[in-house]
Amino acid sequence: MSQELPVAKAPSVKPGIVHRLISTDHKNIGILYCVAAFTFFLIGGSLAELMRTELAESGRQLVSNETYNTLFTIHGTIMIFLFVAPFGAGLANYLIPLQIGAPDMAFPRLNLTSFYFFIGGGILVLLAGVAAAGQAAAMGWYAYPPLSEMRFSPGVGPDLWILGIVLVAISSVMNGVNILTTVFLMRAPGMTMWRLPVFTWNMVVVAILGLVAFPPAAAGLTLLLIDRRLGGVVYDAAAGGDPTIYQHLFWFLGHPEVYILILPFFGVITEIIPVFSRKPLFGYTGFILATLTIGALSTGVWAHHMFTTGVVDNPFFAAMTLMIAVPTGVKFFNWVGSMWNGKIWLAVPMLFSVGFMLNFLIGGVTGVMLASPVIDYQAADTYFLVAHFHYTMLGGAVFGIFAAIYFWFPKMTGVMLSEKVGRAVFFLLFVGFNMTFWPQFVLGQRGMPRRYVDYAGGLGYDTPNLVSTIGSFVLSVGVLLFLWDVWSSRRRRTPAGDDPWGGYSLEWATTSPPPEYNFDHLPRIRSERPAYDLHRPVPDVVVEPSQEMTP
Amino acid sequence: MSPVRFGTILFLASELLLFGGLFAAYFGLRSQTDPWPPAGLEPDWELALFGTVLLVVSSFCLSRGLEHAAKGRVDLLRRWTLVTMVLGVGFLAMEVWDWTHVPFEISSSPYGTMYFTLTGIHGLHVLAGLLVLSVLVGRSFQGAYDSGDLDGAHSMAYYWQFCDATWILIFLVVFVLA
Amino acid sequence: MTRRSALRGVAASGVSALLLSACSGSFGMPRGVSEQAQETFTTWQIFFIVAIPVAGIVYVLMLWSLIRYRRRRSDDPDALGSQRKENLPLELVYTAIPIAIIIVLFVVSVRANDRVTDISPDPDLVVKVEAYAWGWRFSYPNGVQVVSPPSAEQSHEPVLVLPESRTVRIELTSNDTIHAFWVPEFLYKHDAIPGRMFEFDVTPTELGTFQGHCAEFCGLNHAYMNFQVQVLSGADFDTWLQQEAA
Ligand code: HEA
Ligand code: HEA
Ligand code: CUA
Ligand SMILES: [Cu+2]
Repeated sequence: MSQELPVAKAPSVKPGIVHRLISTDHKNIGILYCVAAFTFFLIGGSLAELMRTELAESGRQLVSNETYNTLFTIHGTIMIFLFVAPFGAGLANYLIPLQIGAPDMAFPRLNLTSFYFFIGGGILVLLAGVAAAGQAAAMGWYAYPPLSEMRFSPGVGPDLWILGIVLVAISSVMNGVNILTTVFLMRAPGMTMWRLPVFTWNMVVVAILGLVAFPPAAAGLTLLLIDRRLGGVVYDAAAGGDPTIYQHLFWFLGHPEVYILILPFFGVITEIIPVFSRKPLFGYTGFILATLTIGALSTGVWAHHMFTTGVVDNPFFAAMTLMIAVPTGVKFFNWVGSMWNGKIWLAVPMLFSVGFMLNFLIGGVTGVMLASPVIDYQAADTYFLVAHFHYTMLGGAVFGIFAAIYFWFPKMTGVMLSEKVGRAVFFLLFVGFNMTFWPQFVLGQRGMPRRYVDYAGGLGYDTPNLVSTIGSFVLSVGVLLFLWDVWSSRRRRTPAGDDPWGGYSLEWATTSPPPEYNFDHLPRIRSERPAYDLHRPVPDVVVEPSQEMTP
Repeated sequence: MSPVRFGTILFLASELLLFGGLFAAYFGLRSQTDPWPPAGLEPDWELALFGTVLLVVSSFCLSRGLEHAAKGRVDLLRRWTLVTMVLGVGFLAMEVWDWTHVPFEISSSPYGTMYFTLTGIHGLHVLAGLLVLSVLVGRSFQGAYDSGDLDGAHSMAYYWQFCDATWILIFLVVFVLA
Repeated sequence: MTRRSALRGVAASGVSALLLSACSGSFGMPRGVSEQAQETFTTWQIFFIVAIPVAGIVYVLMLWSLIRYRRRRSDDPDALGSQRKENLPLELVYTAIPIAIIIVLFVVSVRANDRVTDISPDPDLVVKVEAYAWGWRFSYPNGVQVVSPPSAEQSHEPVLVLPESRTVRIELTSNDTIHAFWVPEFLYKHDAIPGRMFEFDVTPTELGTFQGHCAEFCGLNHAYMNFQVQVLSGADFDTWLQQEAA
């Protein structure tokens, strides 16, 4: 029963698959989210491989420029709205009730509904990509008008795309309501906010960001749809409208969205690093405050995506953006502090967490460069930017996703993934990733613009592009090897036991997989590490926060 | 606080930002257009005022009903809710009349687009509100509130009050400030 | 074995980050061929000079703790690390230092931004640049115009001819979708937005021909909306303008 839960293509003849598609149990919905999201990753990744193959050398070999424009539009949309964010939502649905000692989410039926809104949105986006020639969505993942207006993007593609994003928006609002209600009203006795596991804390901020950022974007998209289909002129300069209004509304979502993408995985690796360092999290309070600060700041920086438009106050938004470096830095030092003087066990989840830190740091500091308007005048819309956001989203968020899978897969299924294969997967992904995207910094500095299906030879673009393409193939091999690991784990059936890692938060205090209502009996919660206390009973005073304790 | 109420409030807070986004667009355009509304595009604010009155009154009726329900008089809750719904229908009728009689169109100017978008999206919310209220009535027939557990009823009422509140915003911004 | 290989991968990327600093102080950027570009170039240099040590230090801390505090085979698997949970002074320090750094970076950025975007009261030459899908129209005061050839996938690119060491005012606009005027060697780009006209100055400091791109995605042939910038000496430029007018 348990072992085929996580596998995308579980033999559909098996009884129970239908039940699994309609069961409102949060663990089931969580896994549905993760499997669906990862499937979207494979699709979006395959599109990326097509782009990379086209870009391997100058001249056009594989796809028409029309197709290419659709490729990156759908690739970007999938990866951001249908892969990383929903995967975070999936982990949240699975873990939050377990981590706070609740039997389920506050609104199980709403939970399932929001999942199917996400699926519906995903299907619409895919349809937008395969719409008849000349009709497919090809306006980039942020769909600026006038380009996205009827005059320049005729056909149903863009409309499907808009509706798809709106469905995803509705889905994440429902999910946000559910998460916040669950965390604020359903915590087990003793689970105070200051004992809340860091992953749950991060998801609280993510949920709030979703509630705040999605509706205005939905407004902007609605206006776009009205312009396209009902004769509206809001974004039509000729009729007195203003296309830059869309940019404000979109990036008011677009920027918080990038923290919606990264915060869950800040949470993930902050759960993992202390466990594998055999230490408590260093600076728990500071970490939570940093998370809240990031959430607050992230709603005030959107116009750093508009530095080159000349319609915003660049210094103000530069200041706001630079500030985000500080709380993020705090997190890095929390992580270092948690490893310091530890007994670090470099198991696969820890490996991926380390990869996260190494990659994200580069994404972060290059982000700080982009935050300087003058630098942005040069780097905006170049491959330097493309490299920046892949270092944050792929090198960061996606490495966090793999860390999470290797960490919680045993809990979700009761069977382990292979340590050996896991190491190989990490190595392939880490090397492949840096090989793909480091050259793109160079490309950007040498002046290669993004969203170019083709580039002239002899401008210094050739070698980096070739290296990048080869790197992306290495990445694919890594991903495929991972799929094989998941698949074969079902035959290997290495039992996981309740707590293979010596985890800290409550989910490790129940069986793997957990029973229907999660806990047969709840352990007493005396600190932010209840499962840890379970293994090593210690007098209360010692585990009160802000005190040292000696094992 | 009960999960239903808590969740509803969060949801409505988020919904408010949908209108927030539309208002942001509205003021963005307004700041670039002079005169605003463009000459010859005057909305019919007397009519809108009438609609406003309908909605405000309806809100009071609904809360009357809930007070009765708190005293165990579910039948009165039902009656007052029905009155509320009648007023709501009246409001929608006003909207339809207005749409068919305003001296401009959605494509006349950004003002036109914003006018129809704001009133239209709000109209859809009122329609949804009517559905919600009919659910309330239906469940009251099934005796859902006899136990005195009114959280569901209150959450549904929140939604209606929300429609009312957003309309008052729209009335002030689109009609009075114009 | 595999652990070591992982560590090696880790080390490799750390090193490559530092390697970048070795690159001759230009950190791989074009040095720029206009007065305004110098500001951008120095700013970016400063950012690299700050970023590399900052990242370097964090890398060293991470790698050091990974290697120094890793669990060895000899260790008993249940052994714990230090259980220290916090250290307020330390936490304040690692919050304060980044604050100090970004204040510096902010001041540097704003200074440079003012200079780069500053426009002179009396430019020596005003060129109107119109972007359209998918080409460019450069209009000079005396009516001379340079326009992209009609063919979509351009065989040869339109040339924007500019005089050396004269302040040129670019008046930028678009008449359909949003485009962006970008000359990498000027280290500057600006969006061209329909319904708006933007002004900025560029003072070329080097003779030669430089590549220009459309940098804002504008649909089907965005990738082919390129142009050239040719900087001539003042005299040559004047004669060129005469000939074109005639
Ligand atoms: C997970 C996603 C993610 C994350 C976390 C970030 C994080 C950051 N991003 Fe990024 N960004 C994107 C995803 C992300 N970004 C995407 C997708 C785009 C492009 C969209 C598109 O155009 O398609 C983008 C674009 C983008 C731009 C616009 C560029 C342009 O369009 O012209 C800018 C400009 O300011 C920017 C800045 C930053 C900054 C300052 C951070 C900061 O949060 C980084 C903070 C982290 C650190 C700084 C490292 C750790 C800190 C320390 C070790 C402390 C000491 C350090 C210092 C004091 C420097 N990003
Ligand atoms: C989380 C976000 C995310 C992630 C994970 C990725 C992953 C990747 N991206 Fe992504 N990318 C974006 C977000 C992301 N991207 C965004 C937002 C844009 C901007 C879009 C725009 O401009 O509008 C972008 C744009 C973008 C470009 C620039 C296009 C252009 O501007 O012209 C490139 C080019 O190299 C690229 C490459 C890649 C590669 C090689 C990967 C690799 O990680 C992919 C790894 C490979 C796989 C996952 C495939 C594995 C599987 C198989 C190969 C076969 C198996 C398949 C089945 C079983 C069905 N991306
Ligand atoms: Cu014009 Cu891109
Ligand atoms: Cu941003």
